[in-house]
Amino acid sequence: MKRLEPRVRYEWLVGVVMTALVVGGLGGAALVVGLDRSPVPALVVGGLILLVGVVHVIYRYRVWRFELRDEELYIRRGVLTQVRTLVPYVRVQHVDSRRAPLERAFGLASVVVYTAGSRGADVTIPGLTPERAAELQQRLRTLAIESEPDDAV
Amino acid sequence: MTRLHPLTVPIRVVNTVGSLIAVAVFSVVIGGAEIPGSRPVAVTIAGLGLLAVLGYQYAYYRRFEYALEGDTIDISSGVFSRQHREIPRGRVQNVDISQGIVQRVLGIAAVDFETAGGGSTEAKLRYVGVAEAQRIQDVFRGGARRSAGEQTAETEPGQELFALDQRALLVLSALSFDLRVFSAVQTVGAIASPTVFGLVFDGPMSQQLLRIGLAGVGLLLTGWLLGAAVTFTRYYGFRLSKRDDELRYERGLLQRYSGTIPLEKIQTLTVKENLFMRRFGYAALGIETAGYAGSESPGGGSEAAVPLERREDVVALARSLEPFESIALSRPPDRARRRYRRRYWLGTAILAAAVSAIVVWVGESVLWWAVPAGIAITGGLLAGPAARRAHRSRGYELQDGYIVSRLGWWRRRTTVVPDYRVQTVIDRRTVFQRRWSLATVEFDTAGSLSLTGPSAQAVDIDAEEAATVQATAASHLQEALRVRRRDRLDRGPTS
Repeated sequence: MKRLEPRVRYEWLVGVVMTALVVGGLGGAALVVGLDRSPVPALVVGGLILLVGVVHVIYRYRVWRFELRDEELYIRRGVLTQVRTLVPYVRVQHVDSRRAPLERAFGLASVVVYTAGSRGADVTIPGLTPERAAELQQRLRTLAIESEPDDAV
Repeated sequence: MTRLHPLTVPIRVVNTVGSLIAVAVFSVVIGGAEIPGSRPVAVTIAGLGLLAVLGYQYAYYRRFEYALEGDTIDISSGVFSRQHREIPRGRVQNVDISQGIVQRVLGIAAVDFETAGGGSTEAKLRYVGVAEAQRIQDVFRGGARRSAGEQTAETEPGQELFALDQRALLVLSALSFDLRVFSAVQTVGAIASPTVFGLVFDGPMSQQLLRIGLAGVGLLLTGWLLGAAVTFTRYYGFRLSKRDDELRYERGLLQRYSGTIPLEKIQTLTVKENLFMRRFGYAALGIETAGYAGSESPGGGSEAAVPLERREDVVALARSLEPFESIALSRPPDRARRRYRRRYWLGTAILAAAVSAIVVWVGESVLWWAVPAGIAITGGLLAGPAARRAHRSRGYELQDGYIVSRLGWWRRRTTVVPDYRVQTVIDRRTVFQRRWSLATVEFDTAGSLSLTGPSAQAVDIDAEEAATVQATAASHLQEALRVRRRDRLDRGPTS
């Protein structure tokens, strides 16, 4: 079972902090300026979001696992709802590697695996170093090609 | 390369201009009345616009060519920016023909080709002659396996699998309700509310209530009649037949629809029964392919579906398409039932508490306490039976070659997924499920039915069992693929 890069936590944390700041800061400002009230409720909510968010990020990182098995990709993730996904290589339509601005800032990348399915159609593995992402993409591609050009539908 | 039918031009002009005409007439009338001398200008603009549309549609017709005889469907189209599309024949999931009333009178039809993936229909021919549409369907008979030049001219009707008789059609229509009535009321109401309100809320209270009641009844009646009419015209003359290795359906009173589905493209079969249908032993059958986008078809689901038939016949039909064994589902463990009961109790308690709070807040009379008490008693009594029902209506079975799963106690859906159609297997456990060590396993297939209903899933099964089920489904898939591969090698290189 492989884990994500530990610094993905900081990437996620930025998202949490941003949300907390927007809710606490903007909400507080709106209360003070717009309604002429104390900003405390908004700040409390912002603080709560921060607290819950931090705990969530810690657990989210701890739980995240993935594994390249013989015939399928196995992924386990999720804090409140645990999700374990099996993606057979035969079903892989294409594989993307992606680097969003925030990911670039932390020197991270993610790999997205697409299937023809209706619901679990795309599976994202975040928090990889660019080299690891490239390597994973390469491997998944090879595995997908190796497993016969069977009609992937 | 073949051209479309020449009548395409006027039809497409009317289609594009149709809504514009209304706007134009409106603006001419209004504009003409407001500013003197503006009427000729408006008429000129409208005339030029019409000419432009006519010219464009003629150019569209001249620049649209298709060829179906090769290994691919080739379509060259586009007036200003040219597009050339090639779709490998084996990738086509369905071929559908539809005819509106006007098209039927003119003897033309629209042909749609669906492939897997993508949000919309991949290739559309608007419009071709009826004979040509028939020829296209014949060309596509046998789907991927038939190669070019091997087309046969025979058009025997094939073996009839199902035909909707008049009685079933009437029952089906009677059971339909068109919810669009409510949105129509909303739209009309927004415009006409001042006048209507004036009329309704006038006179003594009893009369007002009577009017509101009558309006409500009228609304329900309209919705019901409308739903019945829509369903009746939609499924009139429904016929499902099988010829060679494909299914063919026809339906429609005013608008005719017909289409073909290669048997090898079937993804899942779903037996659908709501409470009424179950009561009288009826069921519907959905046949899903990867081709249809959820919103494509007017029914919001797969076109080739048996709308209503005796349950045994539906199951027999399903088994003639996919030879699964008779269904013997294993139910979720008993603690799932206790979980549902507790959930219903909790729901009841919350509702009763909320109502009690309102009673306290309003503080009118002690008699009002009867309401929360009533809720608590009814909920408390019904929770047990309801939980039993919910528990009984869920289950799954791993058969040899198929995964069968059942869901829903109001609208029960029994889905049959062939092993080799499984895309991903997802095991989900919410916090609440983990408390009872339960899990839900979803068997995702290709297709776009997520909009119209849940996919095949085993809900609330034992967590340890779920892990096994997930692994088994995946290994069954590999096994099924190996078998198919071997079969393909035995048959030799066909496509």
